[in-house]
Amino acid sequence: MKLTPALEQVLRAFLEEPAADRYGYDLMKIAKLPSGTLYPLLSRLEDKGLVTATWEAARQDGSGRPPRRFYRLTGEGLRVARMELAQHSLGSPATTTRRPASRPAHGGAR
Amino acid sequence: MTLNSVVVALADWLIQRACRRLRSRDRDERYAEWSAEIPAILDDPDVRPALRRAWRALSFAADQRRTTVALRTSREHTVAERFWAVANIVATAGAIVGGMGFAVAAAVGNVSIAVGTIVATVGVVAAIVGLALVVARVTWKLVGIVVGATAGVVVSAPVSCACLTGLFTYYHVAVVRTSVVVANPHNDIVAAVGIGTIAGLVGCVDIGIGVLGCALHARARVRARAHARARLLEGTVVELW
Repeated sequence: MKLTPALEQVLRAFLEEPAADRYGYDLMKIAKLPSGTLYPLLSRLEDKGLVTATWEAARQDGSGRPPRRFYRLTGEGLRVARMELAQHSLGSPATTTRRPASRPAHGGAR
Repeated sequence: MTLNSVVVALADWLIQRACRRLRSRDRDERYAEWSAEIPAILDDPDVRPALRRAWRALSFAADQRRTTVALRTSREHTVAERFWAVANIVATAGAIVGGMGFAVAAAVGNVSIAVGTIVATVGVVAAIVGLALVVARVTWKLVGIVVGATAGVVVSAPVSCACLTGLFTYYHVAVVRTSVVVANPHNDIVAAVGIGTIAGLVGCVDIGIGVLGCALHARARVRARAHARARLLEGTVVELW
C-alpha cells in the first residue's frame, strides 16, 4: 500500500468525525486539497469499498439547490484508515516532519 | 445579471467540458455532483468576501477540468497529438517552401514558373513529410522521430533536386524560345542544376526543421502529460491498499 500525502489528508479529514457525512467541498476545505485531486481519490476509495457515497434527499426549503452527494467511511474504511495512519505515523519520520502541527494524535479518530 | 449567476454559468460550462472527458457511464452522475457543489461554494459563510467565493467556485470547476484532461484516454491523446504534429510540420514546411518559391520567383521574374515551383515543391515536400511523419509516429518516441527525419531528408534530397532542376531547365528552354537573354545555354543548365541542388538542400533543411519542430512538440507534450500524471498521482493512490 502506498499512502500519499493527499490520501493521508483525506483520511484524516474523514476521521475527524468518522460518523459524519462529508460533502466533497467540505472535504476539500478540511483536507486542503483541490477538487481535481480530491475527487479521483474519493472515487478510488469508493471503488475499494472504503467509502460510501449517497445522494442527499431533494431539498424542500425552496432554495432550488440541486441535491449534493456526500461521503462517509465504511466500517472497513474506518478500520483500514486508522490502521494505515497509525502505521504511517510510526514508520515515516519524513512525513511527520513535513506537517507536524496539523498531525492529530495516533489514529486521528475519536 | 449578478456575479453569482455569471460564476454559476461559467463553472457549469467548465464542468460540462470536464465531464465530456469522462466515461459515458460516469458522466451524468459526476456532472450532477460537481455542479451541485457550485451553489454551496458560493453560499459558504466561512469564505468572505463574495469575490473570493466566486474565485473558489471557478477554481473548483477549472481544477476538475484540468484533471479530466490529464486523465483522458491514450487514444484521444494520440489522435490529438498526431493532429497537432501534422499541423505543425505541414505549417512549418509549407511556410518555408512558400518563401523559397517566392524567392525563386523574384530571382527569375517569371510568375508561372514560380507558381509551378511552389506547387511542385510543396507537393513533394508534403509527400515526404507525410512519409517521415508516419515513420516517426509509429513508435511515438524520439528515436522514431529521428529515423523519420533522416528518411525524409535522404529521400527528399534527390527528389527536390530533380524537381527543381527540371523546372529550371524548363525555364532555360522558355527563355530561349522567347529569345530574352541567353548567352550560353550550357552555362545556364549548369547554373540551373546548381541552383536546383541548393534549393533541394534548403528543402531538406526545411523538412529537418519541420521534423525537429514535431519532435520538440512531441517532447513537450509528453513532458506535460507526465507532469499532469505526476500531479494526479500525488493525490491518487498508487497500488492502493
